[in-house]
Amino acid sequence: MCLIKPGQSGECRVRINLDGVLRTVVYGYPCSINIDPIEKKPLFHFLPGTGILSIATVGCNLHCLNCQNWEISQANPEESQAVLCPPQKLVDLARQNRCPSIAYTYTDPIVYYEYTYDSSKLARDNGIRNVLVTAGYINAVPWKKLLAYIDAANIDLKFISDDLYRRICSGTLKPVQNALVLAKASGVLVEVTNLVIPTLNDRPEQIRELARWIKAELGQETPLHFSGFYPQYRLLHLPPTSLQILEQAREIAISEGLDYVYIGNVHSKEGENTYCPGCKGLLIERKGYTILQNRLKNGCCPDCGKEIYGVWK
Amino acid sequence: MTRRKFIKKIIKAGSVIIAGSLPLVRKASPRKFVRAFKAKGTPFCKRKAKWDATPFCKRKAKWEPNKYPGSIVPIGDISKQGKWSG
Repeated sequence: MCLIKPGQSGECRVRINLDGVLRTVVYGYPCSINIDPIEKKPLFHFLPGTGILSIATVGCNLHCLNCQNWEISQANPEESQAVLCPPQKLVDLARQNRCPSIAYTYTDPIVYYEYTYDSSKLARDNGIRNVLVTAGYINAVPWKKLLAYIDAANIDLKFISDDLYRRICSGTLKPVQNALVLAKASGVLVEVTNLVIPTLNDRPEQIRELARWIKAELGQETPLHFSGFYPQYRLLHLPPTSLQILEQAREIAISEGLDYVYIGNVHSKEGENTYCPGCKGLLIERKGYTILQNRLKNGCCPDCGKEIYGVWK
Repeated sequence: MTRRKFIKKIIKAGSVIIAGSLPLVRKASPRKFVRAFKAKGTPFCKRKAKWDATPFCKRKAKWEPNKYPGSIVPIGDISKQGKWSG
């Protein structure tokens, strides 16, 4: 929680105390607006193969030393460039470009909460779905209010240790875990991402603990993405994550009982595909962000008929 | 008990108390704030940004209501994939 004196901004840099009123300065001003493949979020169980209108404003409520988007997440609004795009224009852009969904992503939609909330409400009214890509560092009340308009979310569970959250992200673990549980309980499609950083969270016991927590609290059907780390921002001294470590992490998570475990940021043949947890048959074959084949029939495995967790149309 | 032994005991007890309370102090301490820096030559924005040396906590905002404090640019080609992660 920030105590903000008049005329100053909070830790996120985008909320100011203006004559005693807390205001956001980024409402309707995204610094980035693009159409991405939905697999880039990463979301593998939500409308695969579709494009998603993706936006972000500057600012973030966390300060991760490994941030891959630090140039916008840790930027001051006065030093940034933005486009004027109020919620109505955002929805119009999604419709004009035939995007079935809008992603609030890149930095963290929690810092541009009001913009995300109004846009997602309007998008829902216009038949467009909403996706959050977030670190989930938010209180329960505003989170529940926002989740009412959200269809899917990819939430980072960066570490399973409070100490690492404090040291690396200047945050804490518990609010993130609460946000994950709340999102899942609200009926939102939840996928979890864990960035595997060498020497910090790549030990087998840490991976095992993370997988166990996801299975126990979110359910074994929750997709988990292990992302490869590349030296960024303030962790330039650490090496990139090897494919071997990521594959080992995937094997551990599968052995702990998770149904869908993926590898991202590096090319992996099996780690990018979706397999049926029942008969182990190939369901969706991917290469990077491209879908090579999708064998799902009405959201079920064509071989054994098992229903696959996700939103498929 | 000799005076030396008594002092040793006091020092031991003090060390144990300090070591035991360290994790509590660590938990109670405020979150670390990391100030971002802009590397030279990073093409973040075309406008030449001025480095403000004033500590972040003491900075006074020059913002006006309903006005973006940075620069506004037209929407470019949105069909291209975003360069940012996520």
